[in-house]
Amino acid sequence: MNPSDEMLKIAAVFVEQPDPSDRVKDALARVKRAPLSALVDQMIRESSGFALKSALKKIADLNQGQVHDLDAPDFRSYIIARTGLSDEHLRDCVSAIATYAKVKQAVESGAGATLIAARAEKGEIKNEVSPSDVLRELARRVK
Amino acid sequence: VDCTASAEEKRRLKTEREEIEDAIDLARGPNGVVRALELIVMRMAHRKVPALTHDELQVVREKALLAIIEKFDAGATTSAIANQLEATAVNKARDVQAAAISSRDHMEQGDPVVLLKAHPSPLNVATAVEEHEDYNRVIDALAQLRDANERYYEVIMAQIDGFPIPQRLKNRFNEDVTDVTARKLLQRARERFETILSGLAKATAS
Repeated sequence: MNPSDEMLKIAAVFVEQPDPSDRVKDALARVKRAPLSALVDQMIRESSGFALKSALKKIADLNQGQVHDLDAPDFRSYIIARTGLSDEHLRDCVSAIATYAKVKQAVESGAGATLIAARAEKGEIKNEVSPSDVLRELARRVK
Repeated sequence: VDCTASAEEKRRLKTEREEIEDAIDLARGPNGVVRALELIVMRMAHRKVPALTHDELQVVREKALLAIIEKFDAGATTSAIANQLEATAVNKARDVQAAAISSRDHMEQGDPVVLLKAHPSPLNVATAVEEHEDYNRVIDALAQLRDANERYYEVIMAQIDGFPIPQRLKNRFNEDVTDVTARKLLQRARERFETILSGLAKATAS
């Protein structure tokens, strides 16, 4: 192989500084958990015995994205390629995450908590309701 | 006009896309391995802004990486980052180039790089293989050349950056050389570099 001038020029960059700069290392070390992963982490923590738990964990472990990214075909195809989930399995996960996110938003805005408290089984008013509580209540009513 | 990509072209694009996504994932992975991503970013930057010197590429390398890491921090997906990677690399390259224009004009003032024109580089091969292992071999060979003879290394870097060799040697070593001496040095430096490179290639093959 004969190296091109471009290859030599780029190679010289690594010869003069083999490792990334300290600024790059620091920036990498400070990267936060992605919003989608943080949401799925919370969902897994709150939902014991959830059937989709292992599939959801695989999505969370990718540490990237926001809930709306799950609508993007290239991200879905990437998830399938990286996690080995089937298309159907992924659709179930996306649906579960979207529902959880909506309920969480409703709870955080106060509307969901009031709604559920008004219809709770024993009629008590709950000031703080987690998204999982809301989902449990919904499931109970559907039964 | 046939606007459809051939099967071969589709396969090449798919492989490139996978290579880019793999590199991004390695960088955002638990060990933060950024070498492959840096190589891709610098190749993209250099293709659109070929006048960048290797010193400027060093700056592009860091600036582009920091911009990409900001996207990691914002939770951007690998697919989205891959889609914008070339634009990120090229924007940073243009910023760096704009900042460097005045100093480069100063360096080249009064010298039309006669030496380069008279002696086009035999290392300039259009069909260079750009696999990562080849990059790594060239990096190793250049590092060995620098350790063995820093003047030879500087002579080669001056040539590929388009700087006059006598001026480069004056700047780095405060050494005055004539054009004739510079040509001889360049020839010896090429021979030494190619010997190191072929030695590494043989070692890899065996």
